[in-house]
Amino acid sequence: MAILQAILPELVLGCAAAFFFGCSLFDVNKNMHRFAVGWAGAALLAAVVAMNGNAELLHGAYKVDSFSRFFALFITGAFLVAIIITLRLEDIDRQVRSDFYFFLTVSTFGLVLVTGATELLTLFIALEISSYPLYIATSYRKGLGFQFEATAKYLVFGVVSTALMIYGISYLYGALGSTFINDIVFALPSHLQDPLTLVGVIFFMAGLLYKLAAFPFHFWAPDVYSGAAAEVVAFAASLPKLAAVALFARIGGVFIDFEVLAPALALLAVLSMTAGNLMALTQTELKRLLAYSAVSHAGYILLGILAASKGGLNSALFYTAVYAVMSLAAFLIAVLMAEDGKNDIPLEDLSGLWQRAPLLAVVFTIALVSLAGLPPTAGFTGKLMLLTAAWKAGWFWTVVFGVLNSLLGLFVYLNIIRITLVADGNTGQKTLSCPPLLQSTAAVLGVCLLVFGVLPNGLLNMVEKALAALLYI
Amino acid sequence: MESILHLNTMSISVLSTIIFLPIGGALLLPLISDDRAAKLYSLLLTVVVMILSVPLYTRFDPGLSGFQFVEQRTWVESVGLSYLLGIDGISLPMILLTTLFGPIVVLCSWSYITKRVRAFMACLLLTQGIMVGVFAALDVMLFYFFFESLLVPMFLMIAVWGGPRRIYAAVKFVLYTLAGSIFLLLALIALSLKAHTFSYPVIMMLNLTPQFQFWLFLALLAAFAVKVPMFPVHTWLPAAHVEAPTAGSVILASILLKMGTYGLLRFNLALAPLASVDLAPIMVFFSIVAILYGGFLSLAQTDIKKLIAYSSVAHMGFATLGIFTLTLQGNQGAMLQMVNHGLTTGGLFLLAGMLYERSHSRELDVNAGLGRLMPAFGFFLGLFSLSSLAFPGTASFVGEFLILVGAFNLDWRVGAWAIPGALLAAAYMFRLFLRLTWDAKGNKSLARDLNFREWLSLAPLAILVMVFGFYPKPLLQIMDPALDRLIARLPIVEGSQIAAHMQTMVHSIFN
Repeated sequence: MAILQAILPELVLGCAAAFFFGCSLFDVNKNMHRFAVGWAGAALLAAVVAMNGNAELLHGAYKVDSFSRFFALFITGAFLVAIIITLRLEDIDRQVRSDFYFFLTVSTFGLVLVTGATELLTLFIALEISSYPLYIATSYRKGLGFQFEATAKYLVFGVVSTALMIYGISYLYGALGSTFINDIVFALPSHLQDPLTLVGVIFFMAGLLYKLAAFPFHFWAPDVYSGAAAEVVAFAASLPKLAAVALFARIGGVFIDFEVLAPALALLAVLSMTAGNLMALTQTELKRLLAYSAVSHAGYILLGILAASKGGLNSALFYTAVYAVMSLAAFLIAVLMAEDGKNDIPLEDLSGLWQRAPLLAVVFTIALVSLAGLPPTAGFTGKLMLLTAAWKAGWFWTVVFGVLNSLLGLFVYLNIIRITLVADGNTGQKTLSCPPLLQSTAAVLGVCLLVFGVLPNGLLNMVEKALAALLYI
Repeated sequence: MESILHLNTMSISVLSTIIFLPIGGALLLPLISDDRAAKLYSLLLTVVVMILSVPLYTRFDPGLSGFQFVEQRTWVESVGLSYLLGIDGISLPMILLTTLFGPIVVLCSWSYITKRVRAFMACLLLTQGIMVGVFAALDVMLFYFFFESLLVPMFLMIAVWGGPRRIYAAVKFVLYTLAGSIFLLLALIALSLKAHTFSYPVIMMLNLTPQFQFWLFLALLAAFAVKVPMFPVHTWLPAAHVEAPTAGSVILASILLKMGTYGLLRFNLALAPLASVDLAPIMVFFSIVAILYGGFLSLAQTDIKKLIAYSSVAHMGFATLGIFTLTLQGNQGAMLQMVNHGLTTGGLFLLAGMLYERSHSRELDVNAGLGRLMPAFGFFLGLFSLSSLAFPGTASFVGEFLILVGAFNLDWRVGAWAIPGALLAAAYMFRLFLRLTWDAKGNKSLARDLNFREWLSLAPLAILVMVFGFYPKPLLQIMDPALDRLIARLPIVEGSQIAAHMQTMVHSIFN
């Protein structure tokens, strides 16, 4: 029973996937949103119930511990919000609604598995389970074919990076004689000078960086973000990030001990931040801009990873959780603005939002302020922790670039705030009808950002508890 | 350490209340659907806050060293953050100034703001609470939290309700401020890594190496020099002042700028005393440049608000000059100057706003001679102009006099260079006053003398300007002990060393 309770989220998500598969087989496409919200809510509830679960399955290849349950909680929570956002789903054909939810559910299932996998091949399979459905979901969009370019890029980049990853895993197995993370952690210190291990590690890390959309593995992001339906992007922008950081924390942090790797990662962190912000400066389309903003935030998260062995992981985990909330809040607005089956959301469309939907405008502003990293939002608290952690670990120059980048970032987000709150809307714009469900979700996200910013204790304690399960810290 | 923290003994947590009452009030504002009700509600809240802040003065004991009305709670222990509030003789006048201006900025927006009134009132209330927080915070990260939280409401205040070039001005303001304060953030993180906490009383006890102090001083300076604003980084100020609505200009001039000098006193002087002494000559130099440059620019303006804005640069130059004479008189003068500049320039901006409401122009030419037709307006303008040029008997005189005493004590040449600044002030203020009051033109159709609401917003400032002009003791009394202790922390106060230092500096630059 204890085991069942521990893996309840996985079970619920598996059942949900089976349910939507059945619906798809029998061509049931009505009321799908309600079912999906129901299942996602059940998954979140299951994650709460399983919060203290502890179990080992598949001969130790899959482990349920406080670490994986922490991520299960946030992944299912983000899943619920991402599903709520799909209320309208006007960009996607009615006939494929059940398939659409099937793919999202399977992907979430895979992401939860990723956070629990403690063996590299299990991990690899879990990653593939989470990725493939998203490749397909990206192509689900009515329109003129731009989404297929997005899918192709996503797929090709994704497959290449996973290929790199499994190639790296083969090297690691060759060098260390095991694919279990625990064994690797113990074996690694004696292999720090071993070139074979290093090659394996580098390939493996490349795969991880792709998931995180860090520079220079970010080229897929802008096209995928702008090509896919906004609902899909909302999902793809937040949930896989959580899993990627889980991976970094569970295993990437171990590799930081390599002398060559840490400076390289520091460089990539700084380049990610800078390139992301610089590119975001010139964007005029909201989804594309958010893609570049994701790149720059990946850079910030890497700062925390850099300080992994010196207690910096809590900041990375904290920031990722916060980032998921910020990006969901931003995409919630993006989804509403993307109505009428338009291909993209020019920033100008946001003008006068304060008039058309005051609550959304306020929540959007909070999300942007948080992305810019100003107090009193969670974005600031997270950045403060990241910078402190990186400095403590001796990466002063990355900290300097970090704060300089917050200046660049401010310029990016201030511009959107200006358009949203300051500009008067054109008279031709219709009022934005926003269903109560979405309004209340937006309000909850906004409040979360403020609460995590001012009173981060609760979230921090959860993070600490999650990290306690990690072996190498 | 506890001995310098005197816990709040009153039945309510005064500081927390006056910080969070307006902030909470702003969050409830969307529930009010009527504009007029929103204004009354904001006025009521700010008046309540003002009344609540009175016990801070009456119960303040200047004799105690350290901080009073201290409130201490745990906040985020794992990061070293604590919720620590408290005031001393340096922050108390600033807080009182802030709460005094609360109702005044609401009153001056009464008819000036016509669109999105409730949102504007929300911004006013937010800034009100946050500004008190800045002056009351004793945890340096809490300070930064408040310091930066101001950006968004101020940005909106300028960008939404400002003049024609409001976006430019608002963006410039925010970028300048943040460009400075990212260095503040770095400095604070560096301090916390040394002290393992963000608590100011602990950080104050650190023994920092001269080299560390040097970089600390520069990083802190980057943030506070922008806020003051000191000479090369002052360009955001005229833009922001001119474009902001009256309330925004008043908040900027009367309170926001003081955060810069407050920061210099609280952080630069207190935490980096060695570096303060070493770098004082440079600071004095830039202060004098600001005094003269601001004065000359002010003399050339035809836009009333711009004229006052540049005069602010000059006046704040006096304040920084006073601080970096590193003498007691100089610092007393600087503190007085901060308060008096707040009262005086706030009053002048209120008057400029009133003119704008009548003539819809800020040009001297358009408004020329209006003062003659509006006697009450003329009276207030005269009073605040005299105070602005530090006429004996008005508040600013005492402050500037003390600053000049400090400057002459340091080196007679420093004083000599600052004197023309005082003359310039007379020139540009009299020019403004003359044009507005005695110019023959005067468009009668525009002249409407002050109404009751306008009287109500100007009278308290005018009374204080006159009272402090003749009797600055209530102010000096509360800040003297704090300044004494601050100066005592400096390694060498009078000594020949600093004078020699200054002399080489003076020689190399002025000769």
